Amino acid sequence: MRKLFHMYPEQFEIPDGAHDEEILVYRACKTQKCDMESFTPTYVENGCIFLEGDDPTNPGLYSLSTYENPRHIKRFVIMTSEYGKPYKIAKGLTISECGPVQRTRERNKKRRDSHVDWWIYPEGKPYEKFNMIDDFDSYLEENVKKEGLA
Amino acid sequence: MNKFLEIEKIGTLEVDKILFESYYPILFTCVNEKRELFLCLCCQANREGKKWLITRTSPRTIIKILTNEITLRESFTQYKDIQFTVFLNPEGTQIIANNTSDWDYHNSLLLPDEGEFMDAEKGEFDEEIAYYDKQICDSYEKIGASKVAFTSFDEIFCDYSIEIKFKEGYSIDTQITKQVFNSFIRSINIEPSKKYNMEYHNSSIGEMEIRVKNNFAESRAKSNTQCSFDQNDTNNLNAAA
Repeated sequence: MRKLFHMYPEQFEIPDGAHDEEILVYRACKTQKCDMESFTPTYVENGCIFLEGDDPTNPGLYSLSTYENPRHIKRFVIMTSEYGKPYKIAKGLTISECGPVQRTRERNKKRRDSHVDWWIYPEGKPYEKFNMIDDFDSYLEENVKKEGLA
Repeated sequence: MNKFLEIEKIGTLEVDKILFESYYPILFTCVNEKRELFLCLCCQANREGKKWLITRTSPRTIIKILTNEITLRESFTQYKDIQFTVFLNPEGTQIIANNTSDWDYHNSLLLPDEGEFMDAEKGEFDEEIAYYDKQICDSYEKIGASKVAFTSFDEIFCDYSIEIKFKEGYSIDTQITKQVFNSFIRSINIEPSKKYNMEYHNSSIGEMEIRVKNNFAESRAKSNTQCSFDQNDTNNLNAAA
């Protein structure tokens, strides 16, 4: 599988627990569109260089960061200064043709959040399978109501 | 604990608890050598570098964040004496103290969005809340212990000012001080990194010890996890202070 990630450095190893699974996830879109730029893993987006303090052996560094829980993706955008307002969140499935996934908490037992790592193949186009949520706050509110009824 | 950063004014910071993260910690607390608590936010991580906001905090403020009682932006602007913006890039590390534009409540582009809470779900942070609550309880225990251990006001003053300063924020200090000493305190002046300046009423040490012991025992009996004193006491104290 490693050859599929030829642009990544030697230190990158796909974790043992990475697998194919269709998980419903949310992705914050920097360009406010469902496009390639918004779905570029941070490492590639940063020009395939390590930022100060990055651990090259952390597989999460090379993945596309997504969250399963919509509350958590909102937490992410309200704390990070890189997302313009109104922030735009896309929703979709982690289809296997784009790459394997792993819930981060499955390899890091300290974690309890819903972060999902998705290692995207070079030819993967996940943005084509995602849909932008028009009004995320309303969407979240509806979701909370449904949780209450469940 | 992992070493995070060294800042001349506050010492070496180590990561204490991570409250939210992506592939890197986003919201977390740090402690220095004196076990003072700091709230940190990684608000930028891109090809230009990483940027953090760091401010002093208290366990009670963190609990308020985790129980959706305070907005994230408010929690970062509570303590204005320690506010650092740290920018790390290949050229080096820039540490900027009290940069007003980054920390301006209404106009900052780096602070968490205005009006937004952690939106914690029920039970999500139980473990962390218990951890920070224990720090508050520990402070109470140490205060209580110091009250009965020392035999002069000066010694009590010295010991307790050190303990509290290291464990809690100044606003909490004032509250605890008032509550523990009850009406024995007539005035308190608090300045960052300075000693407390107090004037006491003429009361016997024995009397004070009994009152502190009673207050402390009562608070501990009320709850195993939440340390607080009787509301009536607080009212008396407010009137007395």
